[in-house]
Order: sequence, then C-alpha cells, then structure tokens
Amino acid sequence: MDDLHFIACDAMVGAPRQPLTGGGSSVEDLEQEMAHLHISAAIVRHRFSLECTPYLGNQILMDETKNHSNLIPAWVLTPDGDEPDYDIAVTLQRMRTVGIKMAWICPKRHSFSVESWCSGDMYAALADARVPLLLDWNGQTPGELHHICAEFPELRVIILNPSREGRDRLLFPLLKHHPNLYLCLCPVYSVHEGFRYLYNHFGASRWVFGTGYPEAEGGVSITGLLYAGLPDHVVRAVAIENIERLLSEVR
Amino acid sequence: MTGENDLFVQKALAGQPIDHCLVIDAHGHLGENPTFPIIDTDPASVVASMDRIGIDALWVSALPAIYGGYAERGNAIVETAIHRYPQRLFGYTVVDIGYPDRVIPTLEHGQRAGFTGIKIYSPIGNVPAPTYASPNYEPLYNFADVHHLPILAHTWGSELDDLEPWIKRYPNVNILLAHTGSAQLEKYIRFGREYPNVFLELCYSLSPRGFVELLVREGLADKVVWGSDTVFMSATQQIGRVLFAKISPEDKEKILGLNAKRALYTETT
Ligand SMILES: [Zn+2]
Repeated sequence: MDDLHFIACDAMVGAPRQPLTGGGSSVEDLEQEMAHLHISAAIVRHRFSLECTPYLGNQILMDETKNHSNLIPAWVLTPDGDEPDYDIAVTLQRMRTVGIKMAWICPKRHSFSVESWCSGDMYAALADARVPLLLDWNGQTPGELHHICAEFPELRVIILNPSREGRDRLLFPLLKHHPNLYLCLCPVYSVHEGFRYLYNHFGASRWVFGTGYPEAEGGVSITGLLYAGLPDHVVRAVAIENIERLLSEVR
Repeated sequence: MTGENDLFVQKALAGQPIDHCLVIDAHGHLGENPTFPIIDTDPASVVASMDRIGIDALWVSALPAIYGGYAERGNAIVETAIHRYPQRLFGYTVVDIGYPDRVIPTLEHGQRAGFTGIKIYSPIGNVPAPTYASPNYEPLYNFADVHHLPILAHTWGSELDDLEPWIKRYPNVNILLAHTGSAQLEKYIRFGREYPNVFLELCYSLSPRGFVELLVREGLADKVVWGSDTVFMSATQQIGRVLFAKISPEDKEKILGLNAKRALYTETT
C-alpha cells in the first residue's frame, strides 16, 4: 500500500494557557506533523472552545484554518445555540452556510445535559443535516450515550478516545445496538487484537482514524492500524474512506 | 528530521516488519485480566502480532499471578507458553509477596521451569498488598542477585522512593522501571542517570507526544527499554512511539532492542 495516506479526525489546535511540553499546537505545527505521518487532511477543533468560550473559539478556528484547504474545521455546539438568536437550528444553519460539516460538544465543560430534554433539538437538527457529532467517550456515561443513539438513530455519532478496555462490557453492547455509532481509533485505543475484533464483529465501515494531536504521538495510530493484520481494503476504509463517505453525505 | 530517510518510519508506513535490527518487548502479559475482558489471551495471537511487527522476543508475566494470592496458577500459564515458544517468549516469575514463606519455593520453581526474570507489583487499587519497602522482598532480591535475574517493577511514580534502597543495595541486579513517564518523571530521569542497574521501560497507554525524544535529550538513550504491556495493551500501537520518534535510527536500535539485551542479560540466557 505505497500510496496510503490518512485523514485524522481528532486534531485540536490552539494555544493552551501555557505551551505543551511535548510539542506545538498551532496550525503550522499540525501541518508539519501531518507531513511526518503522511496525513493528507485533518478535522480540527479549537482548544479555545473547550478551555475558554465556545463560539468565539469557532471564530478563531475559522481565522486560523483559513487558506488551509487540508484542514476541515469542526464547530463546537451547545444546545442553546449562539448569539444573537440562541436558537440551535439557526446556529446550525449558519454553520452549514459557511461549509462546516462536523460538530462536537463538551457537555461537562459547557454545563448542559446530553439527554434529549436538554439537547434533543440539537441532535434532531444534526441528524437532519447528517452532520456527524464528535463525542469524547469520557464526556458522558455509556447510559447517556445509549439514550442519545436510541432516541436519534439517524444521528451519526463518532466517539473520540474510545475505551481501550479490551472487549469492553459497556462499549461493545453500544456498538451492537447502534449502527450509527462510530469509533475514532486514536492513540489511546491500545487494544491487543482490537482492530481485528471490531472488523470481524461489526464490519469495516464504522471506524475512522485519529492521532490524538497535539497530546499524543500520532505514529502510534499508524502502527496500530498497519500492523493489525487487516486486509488492505479495511485499512483504507479506516484510514480515509469512511470519513470521506460521512463528510460527503452531509446535506 | 522528517523521517523520510529513516528505515523505521518507512517500514512502519508500509506495515512491514522491523526486521533489520533486534526488537525486544520487555513488558508483556498473558492470561485473563480482572477489570476488563482481554480480546485474545492465546499466546499464538501474541506471537502472530510479534511476527507482523518484527519483534524477536517478548518477556511476559501472567496477569492472574499478579493480582491475587495464587501466583503459581498464573505462572503456570507463562510456563506453558515459554515452552511452546522457547525462542520467542521469556518468562518473569511472580511471587505471592504477601506470603514470605512462598517466595523462595516459587522462585526456585521458576528457575527450574526456565523463567529468566522476576516481575514485581506494588499495591493496586484498594486491594491491600505489601509495598516495595516490605522486608518480604529481601529473599527475592537475594535470589535475583545469586541467579542473575532482572526485575521488572510496576511503577507509577510514587513507588520509586521505596525501590531506591534496593537499587543501591543490589547494584548487580538490573531493575526495569515500568511505565516511565506515568508520573513524577524527574525521578525516573534521575534514577536512569544515577544508577547503572536501572533501566526505564516505556509502555504507557497515553503515548505522550515528544516523550521518547525528551528521554533521549536527557541523555538516556542507553537506558530506555521498549515494552508494550501486551496483552493488557497493544504492541502494534506501542511500537509506534519509538518508530516515529524524532530521534536518530541509532537511538531507535538501542531503545528497541540493544538496551533490553543488556538490561535482561539476554547474552547469558
Ligand atoms: Zn504490565
């Protein structure tokens, strides 16, 4: 597989309050890392949205990724939406108008419930537009995740930092019940025979690739995928094709 | 350094085994795990994964030997495996350190069965167990000293204080500190520099970026040993921390195999 390259789905750019010890976290640093790891495109979130204010973070993300066609910005959302309307449907419309095809939420940091009484309108709007939603495995309980996927079966949910606990007694039933639940296979997913088990039990189409930028050594995900003993077409699906398909289906 | 001319990076990106140098995995396990179900504990799956990556040898202890009061039952799993794959798998004996009268008999059994190292484990979670300061460890260190056995010590930063007196007292016993970088990194760096018999083992699920580079910058290229924690974690992943590190190929060779060869006394086993 000489021409293999990757799309990283979990990058986060932006300056923390103090520099990270292991390397940079700017758009330029990310692009250097992408060249090192043969990553042709990356879905990027902005740290300011997580650590400071959500919607100003989206604006900074748009400024910093402008003129970088290999970077695909993902907007953070809250169920109440952005000013001046504070209507999630309007916020989502604005997001789609500027070409954003991916969303993420940080329910703990931004103080809302992921259950439908609080976030249901947001899920409905995302499902309707087929915009995938990035959720960190640790951002909600497995029970809450089950609730989201059961109530909004059309919503495409991509789990970042999925549990690495083997044949996980919480994660695997969720995968079994919810065909629109996807995993981002990133550095923390360090599971002996994990990739092969996922493929053998749930097929090739529900896994996307991540490098844990900027905190993790992204090469770990490359060796994890390429030494897993998977057929070439599965490697390509995980590396690039699955996320390309999800992005192409956004309406 | 982009790695374009680095054979390790080239082979990793092609999914080809690292077959141009010695690769030793100093930290692996077999058997079931208490807290979550491991997908495949069959040594055959471990050896198949070693073949794909290009790992020549793996040193293992049994997870069931570590956690309860039945070390012999766990060690038996490793004993079967090292006899099944004598060129590939090497065993660490685990003892029931809470029962001092069992320490020497278990180590003697391990010696007869062909185990070539000892794995020690500090208390985990809220299950009470002796700390590394316990005098129960004295016969174990004596045995390691007499029989030339390396010791792999599970650490998470705080145990290093309890280990230091043993490290000083037994300068001929090589001690590998597992999970370097998990906490209190300064101490690992100091130990690695100060004690010729200390080696820093790498496995850590977070795989922090720039970490291998940092250890090399700290002058520890001759003291870092690669380990994966397979089957508790995945060797296919952990190998990427060294293969893609922005360090010289010469240092990668040391970290992947040459240092472990020294640390584990493989010249003599
Ligand atoms: Zn271990």
